[in-house]
Amino acid sequence: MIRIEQGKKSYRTDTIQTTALNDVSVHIKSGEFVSIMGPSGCGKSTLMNMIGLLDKPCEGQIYIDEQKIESYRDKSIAPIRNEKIGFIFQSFHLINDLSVLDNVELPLLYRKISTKERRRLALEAIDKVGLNARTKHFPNQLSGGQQQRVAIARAIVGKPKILLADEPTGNLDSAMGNEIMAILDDLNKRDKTTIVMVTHDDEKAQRTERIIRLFDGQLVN
Amino acid sequence: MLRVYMLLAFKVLQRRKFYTFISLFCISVTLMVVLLISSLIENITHPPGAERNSERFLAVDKVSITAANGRANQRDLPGYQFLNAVMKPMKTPELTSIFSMQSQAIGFRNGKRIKSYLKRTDSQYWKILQFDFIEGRPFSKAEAEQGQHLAVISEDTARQYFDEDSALGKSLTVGRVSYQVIGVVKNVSVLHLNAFSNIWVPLFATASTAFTEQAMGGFTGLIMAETSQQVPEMKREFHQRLADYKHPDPKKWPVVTASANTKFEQIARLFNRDLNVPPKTKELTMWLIVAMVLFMLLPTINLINLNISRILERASEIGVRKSFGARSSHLISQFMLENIILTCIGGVIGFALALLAMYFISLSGVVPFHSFEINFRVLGSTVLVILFFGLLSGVYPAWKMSRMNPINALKGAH
Repeated sequence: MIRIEQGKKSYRTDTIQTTALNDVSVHIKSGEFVSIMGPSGCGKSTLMNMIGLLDKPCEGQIYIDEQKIESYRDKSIAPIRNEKIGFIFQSFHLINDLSVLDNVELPLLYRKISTKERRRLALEAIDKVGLNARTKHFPNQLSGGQQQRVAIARAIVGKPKILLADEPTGNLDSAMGNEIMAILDDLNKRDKTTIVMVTHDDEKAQRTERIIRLFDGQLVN
Repeated sequence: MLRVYMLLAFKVLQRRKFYTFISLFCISVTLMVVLLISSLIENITHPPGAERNSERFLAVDKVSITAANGRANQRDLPGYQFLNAVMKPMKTPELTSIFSMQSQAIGFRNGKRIKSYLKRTDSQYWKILQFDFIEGRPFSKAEAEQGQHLAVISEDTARQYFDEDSALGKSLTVGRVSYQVIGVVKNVSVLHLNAFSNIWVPLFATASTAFTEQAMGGFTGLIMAETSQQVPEMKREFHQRLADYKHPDPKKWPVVTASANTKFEQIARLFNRDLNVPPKTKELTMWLIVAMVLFMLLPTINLINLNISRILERASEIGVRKSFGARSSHLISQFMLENIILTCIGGVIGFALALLAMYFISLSGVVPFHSFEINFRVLGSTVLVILFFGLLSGVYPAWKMSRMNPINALKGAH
């Protein structure tokens, strides 16, 4: 489902070159629930951003759903991000001016589907995260846990094969964090969605099928 | 999608009220000025009221004579002799008219001095120019040629001399000459040079007819075609007749040049004194556009900066949209739409401000007897300006922001 071959990423400032990922090869199978762990600055987010096609590797190849990513031009990668990948962010990144329903509909705005169908899919996604009663609320009227559930609904509304969750429980207390983990577990088991989750929390990582550990931009056993 | 974009646009406007105020102020004041200027230009080039047939007539209001040695040169209004010799034999015009330039005429009422402008015209003048008669009638061909002491006066002049009473049949004395009032017309704007005056009297209602022998000075001619399509042909014939014309003193002044101009060409002539060269209307149009663009440049730059600040605040939204598959083109259209909505709101306010300004300018009498009007052409050009303004001030910030790296955009939210 996701394959990175000898991925390398370095950042250069005027004086210093920093290697964020060095020769990393990862293979995540379809339907897997994988967590990425490691200390701060080890390259977790860089790896996640590469999988999500938000960042371009300096060297190496990326395959998403057996499709080799040849070009990082907007025209080529925007449809892949829209149809195959869903993002869940630590700080939710909901648009405060839009209602829950409008926030969830957002990825579908970039697909050629009718308003009616868009609404139906958004309500279905909201139902999956148990927020049917909050469709007309605005993000700032919701608790942190509820906001993250809205973010999950937004990530799954387009029925992507891959969910990328960047510390999805990082801003939540443990009870709410467990709720979110339960939803992700459910999505993985019931819908066979491939999930890649960056976390610092060992306990949450243990709930996933496999842990990818990074240290100083390299994979460690 | 459109509903969500519009919803967001209105929410964004409500977010930073000071920014919104500055943006709207900038847009509305710019548009108000643009609307006032375009209304003024439109009013001069396509005048309503008495000169409403201007697309069908040409004005002959400049003559130049050059000496045989090519050095001595005089340039003035045409004289009656010239206009009569060149215009009257013309075949293409439906009507021709000769009238004098307005001159000051002083009258008195109850010891109070009243300053007016007086024009001497022939009878065709009243057929070419469509004055709105409040009462009475214009003078006839016979009355004009006989030089009867009759007068048509403007409503403002009637009020000054006769209060609210009917002026018809009453005697009006200006410059020690008495005229009987036979008609009262609505006031004419000072900007409509062919029609403007306060008092109109027959061409020959004057003590001397020496003017009929003069080739230069004091008069203007109008030639009117049946349709506006015939105007170029009429112009050609004018130049043919002009080529045949001989100055009364041909040895001294062998070269006579003149031009018959449309309203817009009359303005263009102000910047081009050589009558041998066609009026530079294209250049004038270009300069007007350049001046308009330069005038709008400063508020546009200001608006671009404000838009960048506004959009930067929404970096997180840009990051999220990109992550979920928005292309740069999607983001550009979203921000452009938001900016066009902002500009349209500013446009409506600007339009209301312009109407208010027009009302107060008309009331103040800064431009005597001029009442500003907005027609579809002015409105259309203003809508174009609004769109141009909206696109110009929105496209750069939208393009810049749409190219934002999604990772940086998402980090910007923190």
